[in-house]
Amino acid sequence: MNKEANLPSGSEPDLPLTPAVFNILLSLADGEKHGYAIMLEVEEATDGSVRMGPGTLYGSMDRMLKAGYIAESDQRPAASEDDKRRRYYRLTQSGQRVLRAEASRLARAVNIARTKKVLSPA
Amino acid sequence: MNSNPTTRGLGTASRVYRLLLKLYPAAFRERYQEEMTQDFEDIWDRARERGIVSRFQTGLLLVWDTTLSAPTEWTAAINNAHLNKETFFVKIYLPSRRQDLLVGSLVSTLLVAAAIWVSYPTALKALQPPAKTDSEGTLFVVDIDEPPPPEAEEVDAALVKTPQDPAPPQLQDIPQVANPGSFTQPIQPFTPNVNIGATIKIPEHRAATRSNTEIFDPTALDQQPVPRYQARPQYPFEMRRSGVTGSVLVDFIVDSDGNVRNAFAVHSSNHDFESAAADAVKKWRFKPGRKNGHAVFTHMQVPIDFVLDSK
Repeated sequence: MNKEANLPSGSEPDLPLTPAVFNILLSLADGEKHGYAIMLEVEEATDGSVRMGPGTLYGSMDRMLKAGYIAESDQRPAASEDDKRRRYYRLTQSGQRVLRAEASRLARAVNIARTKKVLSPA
Repeated sequence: MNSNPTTRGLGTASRVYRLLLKLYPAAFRERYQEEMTQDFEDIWDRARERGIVSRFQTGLLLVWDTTLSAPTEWTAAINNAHLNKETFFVKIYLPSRRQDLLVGSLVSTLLVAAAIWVSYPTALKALQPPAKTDSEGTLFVVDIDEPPPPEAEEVDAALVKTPQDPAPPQLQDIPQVANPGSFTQPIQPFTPNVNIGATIKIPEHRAATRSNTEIFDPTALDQQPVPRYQARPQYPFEMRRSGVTGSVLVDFIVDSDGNVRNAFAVHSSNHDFESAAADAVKKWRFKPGRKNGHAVFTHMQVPIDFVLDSK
């Protein structure tokens, strides 16, 4: 279980992001999803090392909504596949910027680790 | 998706979880209660299909999750409210009600205690290898044969872990923002090209974890697999830039846990689309097909079309 993030209310991203927030943003990078789909994708992408329960997920997403990093999507799937209790979320421009900034920060850290031979070269 | 908790046999569990949700501030609960309950039902349904150990772990995870996140939400709610007495009592305390807090706390404590008391011996037993005595009555542990390793062609590179030399993240792994609506992925039941019976055997070279597992044609099932989560394929960058569209027919097996196995491209209009399509399908999750009341393996095929958005 991951510690919750206190996201900033301003426009400047407050890095580093917590694993939960980073993984939620990453999960939404390739399209809008509902909460359960985000949960599954994060678990899969991290080989189970980040497992979020509904409380952690929606707590993080509540702060991300207020910070403007994500937004609720207006689009719904076809009626036959839809569940009205679901809400679908998407990345905003601000969320994409924060995600890119965090990914770049991590990439820089990886490059430094390679330079210092902590990691093997790509 | 069947979301009716009663028909899914989740009525009691859902009601208990709703009691746990009373630990959260009223505003948070009103906003997310339905989604959280829906997610809980999906999580619990999946755990139930995986057995007692998974149910035990999932139950503890959910109680732990609630116990940790509820105080965080209370802190956030109090910080967000302008803390004079009136707003605190009107906006936070009164809607949540002391009774709800007491009920939620009590349910949380009882659930942890009950989960440990009921499931711990069973879970412990399931995790331990069987022991038996020899002729002199001395206890010894029976070795369990390791399952044979999967053949090289079946090993999914994404699942192979090498702790001694972990593959570092790479710059090109940073995800691209996909263009919504740039593809379609209708699921179609598998239609065999040859005349086979209602069930087939997994060939040895394709057996993932067990031998002689029956794979069923969807038409032979009482209940066909229902998709729960479908990852969108990543449109290959070069193909997108070149304006190339195409389609791939992906063949795969939905196992009894609802996971996808052995996804591969049967044929495609362009080889460059194949890995993107198969990789996406590998991430899909299903409610497994059922026959005679049991979750079973199901053979499926799905066409995935890569179409560029005209916008």
